[in-house]
Amino acid sequence: MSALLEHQTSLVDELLAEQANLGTAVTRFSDWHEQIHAEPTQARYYSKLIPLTKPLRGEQYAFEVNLDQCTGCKACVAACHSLNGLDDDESWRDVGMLVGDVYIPYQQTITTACHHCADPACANGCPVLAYHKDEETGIVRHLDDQCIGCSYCILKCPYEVPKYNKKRGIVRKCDMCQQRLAVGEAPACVQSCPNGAIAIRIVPWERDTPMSPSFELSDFGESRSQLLPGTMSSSYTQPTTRYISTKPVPESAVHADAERPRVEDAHTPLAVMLVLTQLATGAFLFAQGSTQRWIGFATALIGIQASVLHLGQPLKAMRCFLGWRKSWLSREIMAFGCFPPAAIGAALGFVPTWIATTIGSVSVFCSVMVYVDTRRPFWVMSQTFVKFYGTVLVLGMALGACFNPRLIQLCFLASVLKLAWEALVLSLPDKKLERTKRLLLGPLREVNLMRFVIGIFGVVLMLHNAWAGFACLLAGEFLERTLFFKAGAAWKMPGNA
Amino acid sequence: MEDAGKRMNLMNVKLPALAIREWDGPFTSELVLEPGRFGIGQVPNKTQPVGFAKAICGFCSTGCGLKIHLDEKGQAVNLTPDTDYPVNLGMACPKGWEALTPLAANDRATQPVLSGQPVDWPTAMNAFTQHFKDIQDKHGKESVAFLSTGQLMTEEMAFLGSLAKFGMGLIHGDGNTRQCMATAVAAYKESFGFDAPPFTYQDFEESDVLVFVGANPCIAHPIMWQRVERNPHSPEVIVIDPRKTETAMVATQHLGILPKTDLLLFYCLAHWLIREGFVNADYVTAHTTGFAEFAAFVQDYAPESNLTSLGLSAEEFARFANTIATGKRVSFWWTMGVNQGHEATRTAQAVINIALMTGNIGRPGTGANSITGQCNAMGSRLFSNTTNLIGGYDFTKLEHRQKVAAALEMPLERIPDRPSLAYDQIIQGIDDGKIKGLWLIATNPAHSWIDQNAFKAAIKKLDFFVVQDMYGNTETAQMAHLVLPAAGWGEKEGTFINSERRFGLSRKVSRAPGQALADFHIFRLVAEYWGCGDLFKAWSSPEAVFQLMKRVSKGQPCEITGIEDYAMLERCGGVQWPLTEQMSIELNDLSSSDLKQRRLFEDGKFYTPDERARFIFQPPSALPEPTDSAFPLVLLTGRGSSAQWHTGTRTGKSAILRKLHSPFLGLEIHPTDAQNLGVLDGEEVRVTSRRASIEAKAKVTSTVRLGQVFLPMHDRRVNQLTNNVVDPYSRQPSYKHCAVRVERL
Repeated sequence: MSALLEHQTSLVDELLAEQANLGTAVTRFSDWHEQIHAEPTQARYYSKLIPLTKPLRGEQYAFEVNLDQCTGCKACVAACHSLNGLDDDESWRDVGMLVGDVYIPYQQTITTACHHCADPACANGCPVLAYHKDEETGIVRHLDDQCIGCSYCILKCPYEVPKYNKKRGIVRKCDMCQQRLAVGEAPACVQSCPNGAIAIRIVPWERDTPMSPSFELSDFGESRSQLLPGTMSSSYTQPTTRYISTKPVPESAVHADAERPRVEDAHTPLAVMLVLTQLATGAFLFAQGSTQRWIGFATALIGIQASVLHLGQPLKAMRCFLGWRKSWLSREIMAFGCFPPAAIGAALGFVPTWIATTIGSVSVFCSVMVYVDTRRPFWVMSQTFVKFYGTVLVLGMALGACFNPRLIQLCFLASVLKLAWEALVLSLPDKKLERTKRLLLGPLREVNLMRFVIGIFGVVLMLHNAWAGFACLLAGEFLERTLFFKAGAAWKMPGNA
Repeated sequence: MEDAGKRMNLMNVKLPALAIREWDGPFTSELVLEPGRFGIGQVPNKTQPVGFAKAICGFCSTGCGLKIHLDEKGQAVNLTPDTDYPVNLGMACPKGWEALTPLAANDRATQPVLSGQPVDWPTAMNAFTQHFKDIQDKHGKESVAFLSTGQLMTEEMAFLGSLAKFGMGLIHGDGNTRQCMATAVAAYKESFGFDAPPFTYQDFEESDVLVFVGANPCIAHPIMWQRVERNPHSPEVIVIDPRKTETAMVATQHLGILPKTDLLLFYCLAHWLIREGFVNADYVTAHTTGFAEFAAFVQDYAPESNLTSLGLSAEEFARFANTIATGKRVSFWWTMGVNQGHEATRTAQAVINIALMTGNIGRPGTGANSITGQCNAMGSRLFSNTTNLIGGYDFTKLEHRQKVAAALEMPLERIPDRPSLAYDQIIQGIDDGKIKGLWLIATNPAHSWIDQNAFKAAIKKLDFFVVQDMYGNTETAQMAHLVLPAAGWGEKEGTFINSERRFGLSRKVSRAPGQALADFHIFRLVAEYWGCGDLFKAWSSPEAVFQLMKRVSKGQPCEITGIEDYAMLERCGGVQWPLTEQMSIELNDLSSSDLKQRRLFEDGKFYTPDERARFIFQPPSALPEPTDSAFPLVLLTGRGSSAQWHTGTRTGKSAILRKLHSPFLGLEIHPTDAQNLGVLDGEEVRVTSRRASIEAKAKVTSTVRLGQVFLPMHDRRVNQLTNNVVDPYSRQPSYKHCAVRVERL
């Protein structure tokens, strides 16, 4: 019996040892007989899908997607992840879906990555020049070590391409596997599509001239200037990807996720920064004495500090002036850089208050442009300008009213007008605002309601106690700005159902 | 400021370099690719392989070859699809690309768990034998049963079936292949004389007409669809499916028939082909029996009088029939839409009948072809020793038992003389108190079995329930008294048989966590502890069992005596059965393309005693659960995406795969039905059948027809709704049809 027990126990050990043993029938490099420099075996399938030559002057590489052959397997997403050694949930290619409307049974998967635009909005917005459009290939490359993690490119790109990488505090994106293309290999997605739906083609790179229609694929009427139904007008960034198909995309096709818009990032540090710097500007505009100027200085300083919290790589932020030629964010940062010195000067009385006011106002204008330049429908000039300068007036007067009751009436008027303007958006017929309205009346309903309740309460309170009214109005402006971000529905490629 | 912390990861905040623009640096270098070796192209330098091993993907039955990249310790670090493998030609679906990820999941079972307490293997094995033997002593040998899977290696299935039945004296054991392939088995056995899918994947490329019945290969078998896309003959692609699926979208003809009218459709087609004179009389006369009776039978099925029942227009039917009649190389492909029905076997045979009467079989680009589900459903069908005696034999035939006994050197009296109960009958047996002990291996029926709540109620009646799995937290493992931690695909060695009958070899490339053991090892342990170790002395390694399988296959249609060993499988890119020694000699050059793509019945000889194929038919029967005023909608179920595998125990572990499917349970519903219910897209609804009620979000789409709704099967709630009805011949459950109502929440 004990012999049996011993035998059984030793079998357990033997099997556990055998389980831990790897390395049967493995081909090692030394056994590999093919030439080291022979082209990859997979080239036999992808060689037709990449150009034989490099782009000439005035040309660039571009993705071409044949929708007839994109049948929903999504291998490209997994292969991009694996072959590029990306993080667990990271891939630079996505697959979404276009669906028919009510009576057209239609579905088409859409594989999408960076469109390596002729006029890349990401690069134009980057304050530190962390994007580089390669002269030879046209590939829009992201310089990971230059990036400060401000995420402005994410706001700028209408195709959701740059993705924030929390682990590293930077953005990463598709580089068309430029390292592979450079040695004549196909990008991961091109190699891995079982149906050969994705190809690299050479296209003319003509910045500032209208692109040829992206899709021969449809009778899509006037929307030919878009990549696909429901995407942003291609005139903004001139994406180079072409979606082709022999079958027309129904005119009424919509993104599979069209009915379920996503609540966007709250960007709290930015909301704090915007409200406080606007309050500071208002404080100088309606300055009623040195206390108010000191408050203006303090809020400017806190606000600008708050924005640093928004960065993934704050130590590299000193590079922010590099993008000033094109980037409103770069300009905003520089303007903000001048504001606290002017503010403290004004608080100490060395500098005339109007100088601080002017610098503040210029900063606010830059802030306005930062958002207007993203072309998100909720962030158009009429919305952003009125809101940002509205905050300057409302909070500036409210603070002033704490020192000078004569400002109470003006503040009352400005606050009511601003609230009315904000409410008006819900009644605008603009179709582009559809998703924003859905968000404000759907998942953001409570916050939206609270914003108006607090706003109105603050206005009323102002008549009784200026300081309490000011605090309440300040809270209301924070809510307004949070909604500005959360309901600022981004332009997107078709998402998943 | 809640997202400030999220944004800034202090561990990774870097000082700027002394440069205006940092073109390179630590972040950039993380993504540097290095010239690949072994012909695999550029790969990330952090996973640069020093060697590779070959494996066959362990998800579906396509059987894709994968090249596993190994580090210096022989541990897998990455993979790429095998360019040279004749199945997948260098491609894989997302599941294949992510095949290694589920192995690294942090919730793997690492230790045996007995009544919630971690124990060592000897304790677990003693409990296993003690409890099961006690039950057998008290209630008879038959009171313990096993349920296995189509996911194990063939050698493991052979071991399990033989151990359970010859060693432990069990009578009843079945596989989850009952849920997917039983119908094809029953249909082929009766029509062809053996469970023999006749095709090779090359047929996808050689047809001029491809008919997909209840199949959605674009997402269910993307690498088979790849072969259709490669077809150079601009083929007509006909999809027969109630839904406008991904495949229906790219088809040249979509027949959106009403659910479960496919049997009627094929009888109407047979009627039309006979009436219009499109029967291949020469073929029918030379190679089939029963055609005259069949022709008389389909007299009653004029298409003109059945169009309404089918839900088709006269034009749709005429175009369909004409295409099949005039096609030179017509192939028919079916999968779960046919197999999972209340009259599934007859439906599959109705497809076979059409192929036979038009002579579309045994030639390139033809065939009545069942596409299999799991990676080794085919291995299970031939070697699991459940429904069939191991090797495709019959338990009831003495000469078969003798042959197997001789080949395996097993005492004849240890081989049961009757086949096992089917899966549903085993569950019924548990519910009736006749089966008291259950050993369940690598499957998750508490999620996937039809009428899930009834299943769970039955399982709770077991005296002892053992689950052997990679994960101890599956819906089913959570109900077990004893959980045995198993090594998974990639952590063990053995063969799979794919849909086209190809044996492929999969190597061990990763260390199993903790005390997890390969199922093969667990079976060796069980044999030892049960006290029948001597019977299985020769079953020492997977390759040793493979040699036994060869012996047992001799003289069978699935004979593989011509496959020398594992090395030959690797060398040849897998080998399709049959390969007898004689064929192996005749084929001479084993790397030739003759060996790579072989189809059955090229000589017109079938495996029936008279070598003729049979026409089998029976009038369609009534729907088991027709819709009515209380439950007015038909619920269809099926695959949701290419990134999900069945109950998601493995695919759910990959963050990338999770991104590739809907994050919520979506009920596809027609716009008019939605409007009538006042339901908008994205709104919460309640779906109720006679068995249960679950919540989902409405996905309003006209890809489903009026009166029908669809739910993907991967969500654990869905099978609470389905109706426990099985096909009488295959005993495969009918997942694809039950009556429900939908309400707005």
